[in-house]
Amino acid sequence: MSEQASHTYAPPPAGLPGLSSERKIPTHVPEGLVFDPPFEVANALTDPFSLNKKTYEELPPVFWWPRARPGRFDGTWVVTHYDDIRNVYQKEELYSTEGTANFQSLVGETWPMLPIAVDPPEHGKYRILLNPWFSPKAVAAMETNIRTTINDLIDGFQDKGEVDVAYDFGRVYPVRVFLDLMGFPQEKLDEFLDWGYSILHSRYKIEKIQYGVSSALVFLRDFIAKARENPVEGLASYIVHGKIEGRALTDDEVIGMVFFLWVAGLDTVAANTTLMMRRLALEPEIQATLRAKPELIPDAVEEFLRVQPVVNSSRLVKEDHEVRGVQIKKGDHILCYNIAGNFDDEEFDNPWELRFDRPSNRHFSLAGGPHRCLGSHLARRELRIALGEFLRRIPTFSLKPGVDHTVTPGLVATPHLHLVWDPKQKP
Amino acid sequence: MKLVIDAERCAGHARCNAVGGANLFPLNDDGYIGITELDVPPGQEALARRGARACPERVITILDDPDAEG
Ligand code: HEM
Ligand code: SF4
Repeated sequence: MSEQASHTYAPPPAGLPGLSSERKIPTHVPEGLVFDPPFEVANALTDPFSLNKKTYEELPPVFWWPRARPGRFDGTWVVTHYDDIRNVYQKEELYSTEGTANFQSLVGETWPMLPIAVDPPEHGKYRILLNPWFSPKAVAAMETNIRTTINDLIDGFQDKGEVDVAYDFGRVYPVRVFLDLMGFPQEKLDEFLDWGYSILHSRYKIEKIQYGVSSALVFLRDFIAKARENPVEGLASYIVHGKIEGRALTDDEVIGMVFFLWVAGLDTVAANTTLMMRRLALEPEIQATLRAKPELIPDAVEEFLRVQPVVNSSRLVKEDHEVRGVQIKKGDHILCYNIAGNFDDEEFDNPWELRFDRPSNRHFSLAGGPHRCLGSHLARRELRIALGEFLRRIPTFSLKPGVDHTVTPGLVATPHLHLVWDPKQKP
Repeated sequence: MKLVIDAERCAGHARCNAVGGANLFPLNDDGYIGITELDVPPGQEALARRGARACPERVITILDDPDAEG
């Protein structure tokens, strides 16, 4: 393939765009370690993450990225090597999740996102409550329901020869699965889609985020009040009646948990679905391989997860210490750059190759350590069923000619992605 | 051949179980590893090795591997 991702990694010029003048780089950060690589830049490469190839290959393994995440930090350390990332995930005594995913605070809410924003040992008390609902065994029991949900959606477009796989498939099925899991009515689908989109795709437009959060809160508070009176089926009511260390949960704790399950488990699955289908549309030989050998699908999903790291976890540093000789201070932030670490050639042979026969595939797309993605087994199952059913029912597909398939690596993926096929052809 | 598992540091990826099978790598109801050691039945060494190697947390150690190099 002759595609070239071209950009340079010169240190940032003075007056870097996106930096306000009062945003200073801390004095303990050596000047030579400040870099502003074009993370998450939109591109139309077959492998959109390969834009970041040089981040791992050419930048120091630990560097300072002088970009702000509103409400969280003005700049952050970045670790790009696999072993350093594992270390950050595993050493909870050094690295805290405090403040992670705190966009509710952007709109004045004070409850913490649970269990993500609390550290062990407190964290474990909430995980113990939720784990049995997300174990491989519990998720296996959801198989039929997920399969039916996905096939209902495919019924709607199979004969049309066309679908917007991002908007009308990837965006929708995880929300349906979520509503069933929670015990929320399916009639709420359109509202949940609308609220979720407002929160996660408004790029810090405060009014839209506020609308999404407050609408969801009205629904949740009402649901909680009713479920306290009359328990119903499903995870949400179970959480309402959940206990930690013998005491009942507060409304804020219930909201923090339900809310985070919602925002964590929808766009992540949607982005992975869309990116996977896009790759298959651009590389029909991969479609052919998986159609001929559907038993490869679990390993294929694992490999797609590796090469599509849509989340790069951030941590707050709790103690002064050094990483590879670099002084890191208490109060700094540090980013686990899975976008680089999943392509570390000391861990993965030929990391830029998409291979379904890796002897071990210990990527951190679903994080690691105590905050290992609670929904990881559900996500894997959803992706396997989506991929399997799509290939079983839809013949060889490609991108609709002329459609824009530009991707923003990260959670955004593409908002729309039109696929076409010949409905008269057999899959 | 024997496996020793630091179950305290298991994070519940269940990759050992997915790759090496539920017989060698049983999970508890929370989806975390259910054992701290295992005498690998004869003939299952290769599977045990693959399951151990799949663990992203690296909490599974292999002892007395008959085929270990060096
Ligand atoms: C492919 C899809 C998914 C990806 C890539 C993904 C990724 C992640 C990552 C990287 C983390 C750790 C965040 C951090 O370390 O700061 C995480 C945590 C979490 N995820 Fe997922 N996730 C996915 C699907 C899901 C689903 C389907 C659910 C549930 C419905 C879910 C629920 C959670 C929860 C509750 C946490 C917090 C765990 C804790 O703090 O203990 N995720 N996810
Ligand atoms: S793969 Fe490792 S962390 Fe995951 S369940 Fe098995 S032992 Fe635990």
